[in-house]
Amino acid sequence: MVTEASNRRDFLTGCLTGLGSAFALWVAYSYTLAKNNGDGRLYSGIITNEQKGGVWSSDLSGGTVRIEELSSRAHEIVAIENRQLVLVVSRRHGNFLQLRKEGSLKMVSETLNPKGVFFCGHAYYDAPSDTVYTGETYPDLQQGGIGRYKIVGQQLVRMGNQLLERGNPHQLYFGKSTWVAHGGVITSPDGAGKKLNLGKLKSKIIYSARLSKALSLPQENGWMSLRHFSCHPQSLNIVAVGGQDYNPDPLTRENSPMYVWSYGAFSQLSIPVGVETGGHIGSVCFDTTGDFLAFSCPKKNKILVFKYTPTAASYRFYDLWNWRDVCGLARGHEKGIFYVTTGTGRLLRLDAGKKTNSEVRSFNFSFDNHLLST
Amino acid sequence: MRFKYIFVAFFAVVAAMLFVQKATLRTTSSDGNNKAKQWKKTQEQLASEFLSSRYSKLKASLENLHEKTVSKNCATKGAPYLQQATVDVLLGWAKIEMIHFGPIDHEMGYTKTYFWPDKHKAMSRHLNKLRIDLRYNQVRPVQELPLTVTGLQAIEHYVFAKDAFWFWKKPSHACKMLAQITTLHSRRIQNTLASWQKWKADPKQQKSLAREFVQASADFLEKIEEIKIPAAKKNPAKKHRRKNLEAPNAGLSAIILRENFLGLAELFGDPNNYLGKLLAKEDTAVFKKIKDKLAKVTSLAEQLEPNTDSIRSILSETQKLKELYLKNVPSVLGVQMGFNASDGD
Repeated sequence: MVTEASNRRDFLTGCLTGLGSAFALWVAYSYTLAKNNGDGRLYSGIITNEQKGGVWSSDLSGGTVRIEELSSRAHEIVAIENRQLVLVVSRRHGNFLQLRKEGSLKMVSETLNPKGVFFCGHAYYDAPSDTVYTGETYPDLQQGGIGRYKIVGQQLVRMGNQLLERGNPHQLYFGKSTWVAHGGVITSPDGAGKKLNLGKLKSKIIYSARLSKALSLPQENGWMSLRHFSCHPQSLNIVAVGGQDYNPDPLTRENSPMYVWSYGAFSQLSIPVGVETGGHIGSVCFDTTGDFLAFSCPKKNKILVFKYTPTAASYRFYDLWNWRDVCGLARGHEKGIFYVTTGTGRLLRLDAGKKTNSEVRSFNFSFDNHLLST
Repeated sequence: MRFKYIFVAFFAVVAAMLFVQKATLRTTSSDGNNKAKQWKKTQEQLASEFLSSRYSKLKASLENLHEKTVSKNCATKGAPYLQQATVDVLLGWAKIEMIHFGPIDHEMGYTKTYFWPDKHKAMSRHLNKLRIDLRYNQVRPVQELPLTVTGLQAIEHYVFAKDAFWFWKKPSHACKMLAQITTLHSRRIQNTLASWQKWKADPKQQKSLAREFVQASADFLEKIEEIKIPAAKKNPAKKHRRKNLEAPNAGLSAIILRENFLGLAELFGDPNNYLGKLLAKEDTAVFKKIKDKLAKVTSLAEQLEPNTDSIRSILSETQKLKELYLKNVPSVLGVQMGFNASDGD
C-alpha cells in the first residue's frame, strides 16, 4: 500500500513537474519565435478566388490571419498607429474609406465618397495633425486633387480639398515634407477607369506643401506615369520614385523607370544590360536603414534591390529576385529585410543583406498591389 | 521512479505542444497540396520528358557546335563550316525558350543564354567595342565579356552576319572564342539539366511545376504577340525593322516562331500528354478550341512572309489564342495567374 501511494504521488508530481517545465519551455520558444519575427503585423488588400475584394492581416510569421470581405477592391492600407486603427482605401475610382481595428480588422466606420469625387487608391495619415490626406479624382472636371479628412471620434470628417493640375494623383506623403506622385493620367468619367490621355501625360512629383512646386523627369516622356515612391527613413531629402511606362510598343518603353531624388538632384537608376522591368514598377520601398532600396516589377516577375554606395553617394544595382506577379513590398524591422507579396498568393521574406529569402506562407487568394508592415 | 515520470511527462507534453504549434502555422500553406497530388503524374512527365529531352537536345547541339569550333576545319573554312551546327543550336533553344523559370533563370542564365530583343542597341554597342578590342589584341576572357556578345544570338551574328568579317580576321582566334562561348553555354545547360534532375527527387517543390508551365506559357504568348511578331512589321518609312528580327542573319525568324508554337502545341494540344491531358480531362471543349487555335497559328507561322497581310493575320490569330488561353486555361486547371502585371495601377 505504501509503495502504491508513493508511486501515485511520484506519478502526479512527475506529471506536474513535466507539464510545468514543458509550459515554461513553450513560453520561451514562442517568445523567441515572436521576437525573431518581430511583433509587427502585415496588411494588404486581396482578391479572393470568387474575384471579390478583401482586406487581409497577419503577424510577421504569417500566423493569426484575419480576412474581411469588402464591397470592392482595396488598394493601399494605411496605419493609424496612435489610434490602433488602419485605413482601407478603395482602388482607383473607389468609393469608400474604411477605418478598421488594427489586427482584428473589425470595421469601425466607413466613409463614402462625396458626389463627383472618387478615391485614387492611396492616402496618408499625418499623426501630429491627425489628418488623413487622400488622392482623389473629379471626373466631371477631368481633374485630380487631394482631399483632407479629420478623424473625429472614430469617424472621418471631410475638411476640404485642393485641386491639382490635369491628371490624377497617386501615392502621397504629407509628413515632415510633402510628396505627391502626380501620375498625370486622366480617367474616363463613366467610372470605368479608362485612361484617356496616354502619350500626353505630364507626370511629375509634387514636393511643396502648397502643392505648387513639382519636379519633372529630365527627359519628357508622355507615356510615363510616376505613381509610387518611398521616402528615405532617415532623410527628408531622399525619395525613390517608380514609374509606369504605358508606351504600347514594348521595345521603346523605358526599361529603368526608377529614379532617386536626392538633395535636389533627380537621377535615374541604372540596371545591368539584360535585366528587364517591362517599364513598370509596382511598389517602391526603402529598408529600415535606408541602405537598401527595392522596386517590384510585376510585368517581369522581379524584385530589384539597390544598395547605397557611400563612396559614390548613390544607389547602385545590388541584386534581383524572381517571383511571379510580385508586387507588394514592405520593410521589415531589421536592416535589409523586406516582406513581399505576389498576385499568386505568396508572402515572402527577403533578406537583401544576406541575399537570402524564404516563403513565409502561401494562400489560396491573390494579394493586391500593396503591402503595409507595422 | 519519480524522475522516470518527470521525463516521460515532460517529453510527451513538449512533443504535443510543438506538434500543435507547427500544425497551426502550417494549416493553410498546404492549401494547394490536394491539387498538386492530382497533377503529380503530369508534373513528373513534364520534368522527365519535356524538360529533360529538350535541354538534352540543346546540350547535344551545343557540344556538336563546340566540336566544330575546335576542329582544324573551323579556322580553314571559317564561318560557313559552323552554320548548320549554329542553326541546330538556335532551333534547340527555340524549342525550350518558353521555359523562363526554374534553374535556367538562376543568375540571369536565361538572358545570358539568349539576349533578344536588343532594345537599346546594347548588342551593337558591345560588338563595336569588341571589334576595337580585337583590332588592338585587347580581348578579355569570354567570361568577362558582356552577355550581349556571348549569347546564342551573338553566335548567330558571328557565324551568319555579312558585316562580321572583323570577327574572322584571325580565324584561329575566332574559333577559340566561339569554343569558349559554347563551353559556357554547355555548362549552363548541363547545370540546368542537373538541377531539374534534383528537382525530381524533391517532393516539396513538385507542386509548383505545372502551375509554372501554365503561367510561363501565358507570358510567352504575350512575348510572341507583343515583341516577336511586331518585330517583323515594316516601319512607317517602309523599311524592314530587320535589326529587331529574331536571328535575322540566318533568316530563321519564321522557323523559330513555328518552333515556339509547336512547343506550346505539344504542351497543350496533345490529349495524351502533358497539360493537354489535364485540360482534355477537365474540359474537352476548351481543350479542342486551344488545340485548333494552336494548329492555326503554327500553320500561319510556317507560311509567314515579311509582308503586312501575313503578319497582320498571324498577329490577329495569336491575339485570339492569347485571349482564349487566358480566359479559359488557368481557370479550368485551377491556376492562379495573378493580376498585378496587367493591373495598370
